[in-house]
Amino acid sequence: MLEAGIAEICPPTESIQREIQAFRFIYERIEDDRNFIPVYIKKPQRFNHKSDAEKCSGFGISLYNSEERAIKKYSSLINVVQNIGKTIGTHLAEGKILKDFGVTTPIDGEGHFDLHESDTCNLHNKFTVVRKIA
Amino acid sequence: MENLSNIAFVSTHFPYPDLNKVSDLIYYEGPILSHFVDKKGKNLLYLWVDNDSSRNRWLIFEIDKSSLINYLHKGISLRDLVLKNRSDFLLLADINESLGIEFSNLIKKENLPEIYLPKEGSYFEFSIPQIYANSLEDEYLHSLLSDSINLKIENKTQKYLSAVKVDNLLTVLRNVKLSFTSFISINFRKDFTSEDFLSLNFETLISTVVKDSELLIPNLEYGSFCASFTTDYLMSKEISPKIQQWRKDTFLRFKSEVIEADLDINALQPLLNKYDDFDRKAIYSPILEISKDSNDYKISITDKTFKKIKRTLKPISKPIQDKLIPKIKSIDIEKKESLFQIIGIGEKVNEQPKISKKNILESKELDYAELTQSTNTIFYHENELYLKEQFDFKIVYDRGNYVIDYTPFEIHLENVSFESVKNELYKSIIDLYKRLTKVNEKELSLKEIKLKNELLDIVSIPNIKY
Repeated sequence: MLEAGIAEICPPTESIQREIQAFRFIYERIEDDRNFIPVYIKKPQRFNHKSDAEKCSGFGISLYNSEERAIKKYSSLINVVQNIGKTIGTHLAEGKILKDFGVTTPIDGEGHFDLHESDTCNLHNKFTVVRKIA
Repeated sequence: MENLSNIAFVSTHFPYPDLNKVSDLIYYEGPILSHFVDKKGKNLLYLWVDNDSSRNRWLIFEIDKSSLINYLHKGISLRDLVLKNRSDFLLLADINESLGIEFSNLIKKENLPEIYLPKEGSYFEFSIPQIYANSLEDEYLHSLLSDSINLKIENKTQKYLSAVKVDNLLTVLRNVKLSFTSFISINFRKDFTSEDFLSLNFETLISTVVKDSELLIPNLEYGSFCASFTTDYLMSKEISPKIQQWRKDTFLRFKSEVIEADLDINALQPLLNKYDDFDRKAIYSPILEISKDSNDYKISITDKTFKKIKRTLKPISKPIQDKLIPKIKSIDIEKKESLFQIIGIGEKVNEQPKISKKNILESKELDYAELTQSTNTIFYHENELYLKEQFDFKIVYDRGNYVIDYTPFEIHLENVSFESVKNELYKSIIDLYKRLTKVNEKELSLKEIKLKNELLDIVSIPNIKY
């Protein structure tokens, strides 16, 4: 259940249902519980001083629209923190997002977007591991 | 998490209480790198480095504002911010899920586990948070002005009230620049040798350093004419951090040894020991020229606001001047070259003018000219590059100095001789070709690979002795 302030703006009004090939950083085993949990649910304390819009983004699942863009992002993060795999995953997974999975935010300049899942969505069996990236 | 027991000291207290977060600099599903400030205005960076099931470990270190700006503008890597930090000891703090600090460990920079260090080339590849957009500009200008040379140029007579003649202004600006450029290249040769930069061509490196050390004017005031001069050592991506520090130190040395120097007999001897006659002439004569009594303008050194005059540039006494810049005998130096424009009556032979001496109507010595030169072959000693197409480049002549600025290959050359500056260009291109084609492509940066491809595109037959 979303907090009152967040519920009013979440998912963002510009979000739409769409079919799109998507890529996500995950841990090695696709069944790993940490793989498809929104970060706000996993680590709510990280959002203590964040705006409602940022909290809303924390309820989304981070995805990229191409393998190349996902790897580019991962490379820039691992350059800064060699242990980044411990917190965001060590592998890249690919899956097709269908309209009934929920709504997606607009794709930004880095190819990133959030999926705000519908109640029935289960991404574990929709994604497969592409490669190790850490 | 990494075991720190043998490499760090547990701190009894957390040394940075009451911090305010300025912004997350890198964020991905949580902060990765964050900027904090304490009550005294001290800036700190928190870099996430590790975790276990209940704690996150952060590397915490102090940083000055100009280094932060430099990092956000890709001038320095995060790895260098950590390893070249002023403090010998940095902090590793373990923070639990309730954001309480469980352990603070002081660790020597050199003992940091390699896995906690950002990688080589960890330049900032993210969006600069909006909160810095304006303050960074202010900080940058502030840092440019903090050590600037501030000069006020005024007419000696009241003929045009406070308005300064453009010619006088140009002379002052040009001479300060000439002196500074000489100071940089002469001192670079004194302070470094090619041994210090084995993977780089030394001459090309000097050109790059001179080019990066361009004089800037971050502040101006009109009425009379007041200008602050400085050089940037934050924005340009340095070949090496030691060059960055050297450029900063050298600008300050130029300020104290040349512009603000009181050239009495005591100050003279160290200069005579340090620089030969040619070097002293290159550095000091442009400044002596704009300090002459006979000029119809005067120059004062002021504070940053141009309100307080520290002193006026005065000519130095004749005996000191004769020692500082002795007349260089003609046997020691090639005859000084000048550029002339000749107007005469003649005929065209093979599309080229042919004018006999008696038909020259006017010959005028030029102060400034831009000359376009072309060649189909670049050669230096036994090396030749035959080109696919004609290669055009521009030589700018400016009062005795020939300048080539060939941006595609980042070559900047200055010389008092036309032939020498041309030879230097050919030598630089051949050295560049040799270096880029000799080294395995894996060892080249993306920029160097691009440069190599551009070179290979224009060369038809190389005849190079490696």
